[in-house]
Amino acid sequence: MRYPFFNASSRLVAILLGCLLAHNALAEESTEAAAKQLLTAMMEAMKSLSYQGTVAYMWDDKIETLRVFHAFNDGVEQKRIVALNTPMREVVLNADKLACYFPDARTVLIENHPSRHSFLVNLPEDLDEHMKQYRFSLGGREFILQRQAQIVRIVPKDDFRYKRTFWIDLETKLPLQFELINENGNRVEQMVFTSLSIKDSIPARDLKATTEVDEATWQIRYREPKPAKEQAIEFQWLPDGFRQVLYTQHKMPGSAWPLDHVLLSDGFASVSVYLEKFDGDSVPLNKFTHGGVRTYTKKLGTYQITVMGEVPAKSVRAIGDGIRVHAPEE
Amino acid sequence: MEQNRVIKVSMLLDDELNEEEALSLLEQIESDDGLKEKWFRYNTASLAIKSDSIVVLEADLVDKVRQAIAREPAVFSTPASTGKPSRIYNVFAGALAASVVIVAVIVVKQPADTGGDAATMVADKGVESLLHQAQPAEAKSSEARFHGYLLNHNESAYSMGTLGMLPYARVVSYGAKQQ
Repeated sequence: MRYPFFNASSRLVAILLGCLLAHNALAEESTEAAAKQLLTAMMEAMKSLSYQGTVAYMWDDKIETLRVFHAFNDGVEQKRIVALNTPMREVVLNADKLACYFPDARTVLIENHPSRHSFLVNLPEDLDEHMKQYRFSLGGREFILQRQAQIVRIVPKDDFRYKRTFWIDLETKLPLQFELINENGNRVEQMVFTSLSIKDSIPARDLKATTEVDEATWQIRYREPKPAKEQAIEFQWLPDGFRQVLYTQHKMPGSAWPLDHVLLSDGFASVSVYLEKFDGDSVPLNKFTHGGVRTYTKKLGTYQITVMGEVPAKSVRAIGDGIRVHAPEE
Repeated sequence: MEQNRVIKVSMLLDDELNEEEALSLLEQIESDDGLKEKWFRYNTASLAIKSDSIVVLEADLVDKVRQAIAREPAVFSTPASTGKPSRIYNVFAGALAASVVIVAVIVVKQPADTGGDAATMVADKGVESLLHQAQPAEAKSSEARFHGYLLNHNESAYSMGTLGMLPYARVVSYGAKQQ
């Protein structure tokens, strides 16, 4: 009671501070909701609009120019993406068939009934499920292609994943620019539209593959998922939010043994784990990177394990070190 | 003798040497800095003239190209029937690639200027594939394996809908022969 003024002042300051914090929390929640809403609208726009454009894709210190075509007619999506430079690889989705053409390897990969995801950016359908691992926020507005774009950031809450930034066109909701930023704050991959046209329809010729496949000399591969119970890879530990989404087997050229492949994802990033039996020395791949993709190789008995994905190096190492190999069930 | 080797470099670029001669010359290129310099110069000029390929011989070139992209005419158009404001610019699809080549050719330097180590240079697929022929079998095997794994990773991640950005950009643009 000796300092009633200070007591009253302190209470007032505490109340004001509380109000301010609550206001900030509400504002943060509001901007997070707006960011998620815009990302959801972006996914819908990529699916339901017909458009074509040229995209510059940059990774490490390289640039590739790609043409992208996307049509949406009567609820059916058709897509084609083609590299403008040699070796002119292209990917075409037509109805329920996805085909990837690799003229340099004379190979075409065909997948029936592929999932319906965008050629440009894939995000989980329910962003709320990933709020434990990521924070969504709005940035400022900038002009891309003379269009006003809203910046949206997806920031990881731990250091096992990368940050992502989108520039979303306010009118069409298409992503005009995208960046993948590593744990050091460096941009490791970027895509930016250098031209983009929204169309009423896309000519059929632009949605068809231009690569001619000679079935006599080309290899045609099909991918079929296998039941997880058959896999020999067991994960002792995974970063929070990562789960297994695919197990399959491949035949690698020059190898007598099948290659086991498990795909993991946290909804935004994906990590592949390969298990291959080796007769001789292992082939360490740790030094190889591609944009944000990091690789970790480990020898386990007669097996080599390789972990790669668009996550920091510490993540692929931690996943690799937590792997055990056991005999699959018969 | 030197003149013959220079002629052979030119023939190599024009694909006029048989396999044995090409491999022998590539070995010489690897061990002879002067020849290596000529090979890079001829190859760079040849690539720039023949195609839209990107030739990157400077560490900071990409930043310069990014700046060039930023200066590119912006192109965005919407269907006239929508009644929305339409901004249609008369450019063609290869404008970016062409500008990239122009920037690349302007800033290309000799190997000596970039440290003289061909292995540290970033070249396009044409250059890279030739370099691969001169690499030890072990390195080729590692790189081929990495690219096989990477391609497979990108394909699978796309088809499962788990690859965030430009899933097939990586598939169509990764930088070396798969096998």
